Amino acid sequence: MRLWLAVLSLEMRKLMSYRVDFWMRFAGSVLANVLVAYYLWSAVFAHTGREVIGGFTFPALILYYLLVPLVENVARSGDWGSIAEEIYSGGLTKFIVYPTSFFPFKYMGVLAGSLLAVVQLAAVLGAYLAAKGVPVGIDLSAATVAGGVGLAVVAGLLSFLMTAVFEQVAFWADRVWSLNVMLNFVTRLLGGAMLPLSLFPGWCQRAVLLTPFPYLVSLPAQAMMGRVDAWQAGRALAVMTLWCLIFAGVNRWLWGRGALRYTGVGI
Amino acid sequence: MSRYLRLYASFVRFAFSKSLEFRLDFYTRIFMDLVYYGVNVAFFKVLYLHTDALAGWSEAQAMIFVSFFLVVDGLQMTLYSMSVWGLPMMINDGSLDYYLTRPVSGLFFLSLRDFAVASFVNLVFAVGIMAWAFAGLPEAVSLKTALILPGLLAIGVLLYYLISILFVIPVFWTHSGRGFGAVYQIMNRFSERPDRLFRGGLRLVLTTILPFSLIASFPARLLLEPFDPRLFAHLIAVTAGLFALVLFLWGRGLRAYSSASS
Repeated sequence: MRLWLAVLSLEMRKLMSYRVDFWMRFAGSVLANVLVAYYLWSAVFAHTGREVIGGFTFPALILYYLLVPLVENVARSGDWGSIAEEIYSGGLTKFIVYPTSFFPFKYMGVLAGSLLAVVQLAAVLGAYLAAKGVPVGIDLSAATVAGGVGLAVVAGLLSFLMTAVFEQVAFWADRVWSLNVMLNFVTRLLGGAMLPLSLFPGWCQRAVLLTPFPYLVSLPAQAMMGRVDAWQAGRALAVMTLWCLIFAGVNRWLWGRGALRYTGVGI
Repeated sequence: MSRYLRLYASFVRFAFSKSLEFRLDFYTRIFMDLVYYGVNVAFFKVLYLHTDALAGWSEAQAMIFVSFFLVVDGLQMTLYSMSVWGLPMMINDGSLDYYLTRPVSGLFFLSLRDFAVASFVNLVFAVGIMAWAFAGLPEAVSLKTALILPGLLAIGVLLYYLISILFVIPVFWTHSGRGFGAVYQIMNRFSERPDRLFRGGLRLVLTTILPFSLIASFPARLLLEPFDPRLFAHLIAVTAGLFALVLFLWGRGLRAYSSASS
């Protein structure tokens, strides 16, 4: 346990080593997401004259778009591409002498990012609610935020395992960054980061729910807004656990096959 | 001029000959861009399920805007993005030296040396989406549209390039491109939305200082609406101003560049 805490602390310090970059990236992504959403949806609400679209009032929708980058920071943090880089550059070799195995070590980097992102989430959400208050009809409370954060941290593990599958392709191919970028595009659309999933056609919503993507962004954000009850949260946790087990199995299989091809020679 | 053309032709030849060196990467890049195209089209398709107009555009008109943006994106990915992405690292580790000692413009060499063949293949799909978008318009494509489209695409690509270089230049002083790179990626989201959505100070920034809205939105308005000379003049003036600014800042940056010995 002391070892993991030491790794976690080290990874947190690494993430904070470029502080200006860290905060610019964070503030920029939150601000841009909210601004684009604000102007886009104010135009749509004004043109249609409707008060509710896809189950969201305008203030509720803006709160959702504020939560999206905050949740993404928690659920999709970490140094993406680092697993492929270790394979590509021969960096796996050092894990022979490390007192830990590879995947838990890498996951600590993700968890470190998630924990820092939780602090950012609390600060930004607190400031926003202090300024604007909770939108009418939204049942947001400390308990719902805590529940959503918990789901986002589990989503971080799921996201890590999904990404690791793509990154392990580096055992067979030298460059795999485009697979990660592709996963990011799909996650932003089907995860509900670009649009709430309730705006999608019914058949599409049902199909998307069969994939792991909604659990990465939309579900934790909706849970924070009090739109997910205890039973739905429990079911979501069960589905996420199932997806984690599936991806862990695929990772294990790929690792077994890929390690046989690993030469330890960097490029 | 002919020296530059010959040099560029050799960049392209070299890119084609090495394109299948990383075979899986070549195919996944094609697929990645297709996913990007699909995601952008799907976004507007879903949005228009809930409204019949956005920023004064019908769904068919918005698809022209999206397709214009996708073609510009395909062109910038093909022509210079791979080169520009690597620039901050080269400034930081001093490997710029090699390019600055060549008997051609350093900016030309550094910006265009890496022609992306996979993205070039994707241009076919992007142009296909544009053709599909034009086919969806209730009226036929006019002669005016056909004549000004290539010019507007060229302006869009040039603006995209100038903005991306503008976000690289500070690395000469800061020695890290991480923060600026992230802000550039984030700001790019504004170029994917119609400019008329934005108001006030933000609109001023997006149409003059950091003209992300001019990459696709202004050209789409010139294509879709009666020709507005003021809009066109604004587009040209900002592009020319940004071009001059980038050349000036690049020169200042090179003076601050501390070479490989740093």
